[in-house]
Amino acid sequence: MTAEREEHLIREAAFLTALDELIGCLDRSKAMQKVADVGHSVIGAKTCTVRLLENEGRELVLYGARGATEARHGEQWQRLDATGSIAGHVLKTGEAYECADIQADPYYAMKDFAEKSGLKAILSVPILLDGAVSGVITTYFSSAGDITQERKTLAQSLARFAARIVEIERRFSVVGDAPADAIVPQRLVKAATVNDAALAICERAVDLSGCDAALLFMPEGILGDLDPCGETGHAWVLATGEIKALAERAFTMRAVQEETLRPEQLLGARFAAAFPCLVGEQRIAVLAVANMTETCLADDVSWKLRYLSTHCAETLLRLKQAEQLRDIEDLLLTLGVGRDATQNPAAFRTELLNLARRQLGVEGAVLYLLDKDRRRYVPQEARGLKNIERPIAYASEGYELGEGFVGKVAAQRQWVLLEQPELDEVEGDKCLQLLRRQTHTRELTICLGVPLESPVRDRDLPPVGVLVLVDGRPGAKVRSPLEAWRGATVSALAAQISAALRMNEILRREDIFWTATHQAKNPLAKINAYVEAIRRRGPRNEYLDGLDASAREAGRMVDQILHIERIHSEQEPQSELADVSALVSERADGFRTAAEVARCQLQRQVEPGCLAWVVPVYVAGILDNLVHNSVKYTQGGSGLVEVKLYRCEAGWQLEVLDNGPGLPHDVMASIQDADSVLVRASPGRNIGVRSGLGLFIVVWYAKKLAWRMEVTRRKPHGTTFAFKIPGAAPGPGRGGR
Amino acid sequence: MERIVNTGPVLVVDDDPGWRLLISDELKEAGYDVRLAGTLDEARQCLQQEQIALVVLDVLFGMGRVLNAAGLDFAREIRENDNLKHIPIVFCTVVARGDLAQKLERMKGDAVVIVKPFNFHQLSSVVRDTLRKARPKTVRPGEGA
Repeated sequence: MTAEREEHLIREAAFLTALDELIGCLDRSKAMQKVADVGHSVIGAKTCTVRLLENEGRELVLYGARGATEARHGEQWQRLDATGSIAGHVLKTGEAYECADIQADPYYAMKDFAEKSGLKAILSVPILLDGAVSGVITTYFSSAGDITQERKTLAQSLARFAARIVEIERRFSVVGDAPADAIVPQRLVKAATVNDAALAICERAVDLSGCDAALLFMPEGILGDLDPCGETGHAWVLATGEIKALAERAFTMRAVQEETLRPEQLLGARFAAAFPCLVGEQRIAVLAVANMTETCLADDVSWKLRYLSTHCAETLLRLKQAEQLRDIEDLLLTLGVGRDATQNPAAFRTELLNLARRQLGVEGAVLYLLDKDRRRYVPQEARGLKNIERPIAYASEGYELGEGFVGKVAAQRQWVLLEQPELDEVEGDKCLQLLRRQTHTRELTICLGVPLESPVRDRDLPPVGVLVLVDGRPGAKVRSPLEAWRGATVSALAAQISAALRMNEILRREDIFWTATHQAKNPLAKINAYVEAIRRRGPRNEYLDGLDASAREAGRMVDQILHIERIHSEQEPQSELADVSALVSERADGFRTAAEVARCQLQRQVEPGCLAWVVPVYVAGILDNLVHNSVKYTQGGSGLVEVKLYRCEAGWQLEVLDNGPGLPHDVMASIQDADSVLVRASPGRNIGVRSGLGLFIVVWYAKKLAWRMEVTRRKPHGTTFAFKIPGAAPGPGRGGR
Repeated sequence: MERIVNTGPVLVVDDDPGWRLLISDELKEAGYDVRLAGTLDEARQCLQQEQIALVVLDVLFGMGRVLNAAGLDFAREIRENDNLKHIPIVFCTVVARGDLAQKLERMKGDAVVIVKPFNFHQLSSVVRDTLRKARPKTVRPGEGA
């Protein structure tokens, strides 16, 4: 094969892949930008623009641009008069237009721009829909020789695809105007399981098409593994008569794949049509209808089915994800991980490690997970080791793929068991050295590494983590028998855990974002509303007071966002020896005015002399949030908020007490876990109840300061937040420092 | 400005006194009789005592230190009550995304959603349109709108 031919085939393959992705995109702006991307990257134009005819055929509006013309978005070139320019000419003639020298072209208006950007030649093709031009794709090249026959063909194909997208959008808007429930069944919206949804979709597909059968193919697999060419899957079949007998065979997605997604072959039917269920570009499932007799679908029926398949995809995905999460929980419960742990990531990790230790009879376990950059395996949690905090302290080190024992296990993607490893072997491996230091003796008797494969089984990605089980007791052995079933159990468990950890991380980030959005938007929205009210009705006192309060609240939110940013940044501020007594007094006094406004009594009882190594901004964050919330929720005349700092047997204790409504039981139950304090709803999925950011910040900072926090209910109502301050100097009363 | 006649009061349910003030001022200026409720219990009481024409309902309520999408549950409660289910609901929310957006989407058809910050003109026109659509259900023969 010649190099030229090879290059052509590669380009064609890339082109087809790009077009395939395009068809899934129903958003006109996004789709046309993609068209411009393809024109630029695959066809190889120096720049590419896509304009669609709008405003009753009077204007060509720029929908996509890539290359030198990108900056045209939002500028004066965004809309062109349909009668001028090259695009206007193409519109008039309905034929492709090619120009080898822009500077000499009578239709091209922006010659200075072309000169500056090095654009010499133009190929402009019409987007034809039902024989009429509905838009124009223009590709610019740096020389006339770049406009080859192959590029012309590709540009024409691109225009056909663009037309198809415009048509899909147009048809969908027509179909979507049908009465509610005429196409997407109400039962689908209310479906609680994938099964309910699938049957509702099939039923509607049969109704709409009049065919004998409807089938919905959906792959199995864990979260995200929704490629219908996956190994296994389900087919929901709603069929009648002869077809039913044929359809009763077990379908798998492999069968679908082998038969190249031709349902007529699967069913032995005489007619079949398939419609992808797409979320963005991701194919979630395939809906098919089939008939035992030769038939064809009317155009409008075909569009309705396409509309149905597209609009059911998000529901299917949501239900599928929810079911998979339930499956993970069920498995964990079966394996003995407690229900609390399944709702609480920290407890979850701990139970995983303890379970592995119990099952294999080894002393310690460390969980390493791949970091955000997917470069290093960093320790997340350790149990049963001498210095259980150490792995976290060494978190910044981590191991790259192939580096150290952990990196090797990840690279080999299989269990590695070292029994009585040689001293040289340990000395030459910094990971093993660290693990040995964490065991009780100088020797490392056992070291077992288990790669945690991503449940999506993507072989291009390294394992998502490594579980290391170690023992330093002389003569220790992995509890016999270390047979396949044990391995399979831990491996399966590990895989599920890693998926759930990932999901928890996603949920946690979403929750922080969600809560921050709400709390930040509310005062800003109110400022907006007060300003409008003042404009319309004049500066009434209640508006000005409200405006002032909202502005203060917005300022507080900026502080909160800075706290969140600090929590998420990996750089921790240095601790310093601070006068905690003075700090607490200062922060509490800062709320005197707010307490007066809220008609709430604020009492401060702070013993002087508490010196401790702290990060002052963390202490301030804890106090500001607790006192602010207490004042806010105990207003109304009888409210009492107390801030106390006093010596106790163990050193010093800080308390913030109020007689407000108190925290809900489910928030109380998980208050120690910063990860889950934002979401407390059973069973971790029904995001109905959320704590504010304040509580999240308090829990997180207490954890960072290593202040043990206890939250208790007060009778008849109210809450006490108590913190034990470790390492605080005893103070003058006990001899001082 | 069009004045609305032959409708009962509009109930504004929001735990934030600022929003209650702003919304009620706007609706009063547009000619509506307005009742205010800062809690769901107050709202229930009001619904029992008066013939409410429309409910403007916040979605998220502060419950102590936590936020709760209690407005949605309250809307369901109204829909399940034979005496109240005809009352149109206008949801006012600061955030309408993610899980909450899905829940609101499911209630669509039964309710109108407007996202804060909204233009006050938008609020009164949404209330007016919603009441107009709802009116045939409540107006008896012989009563003009």
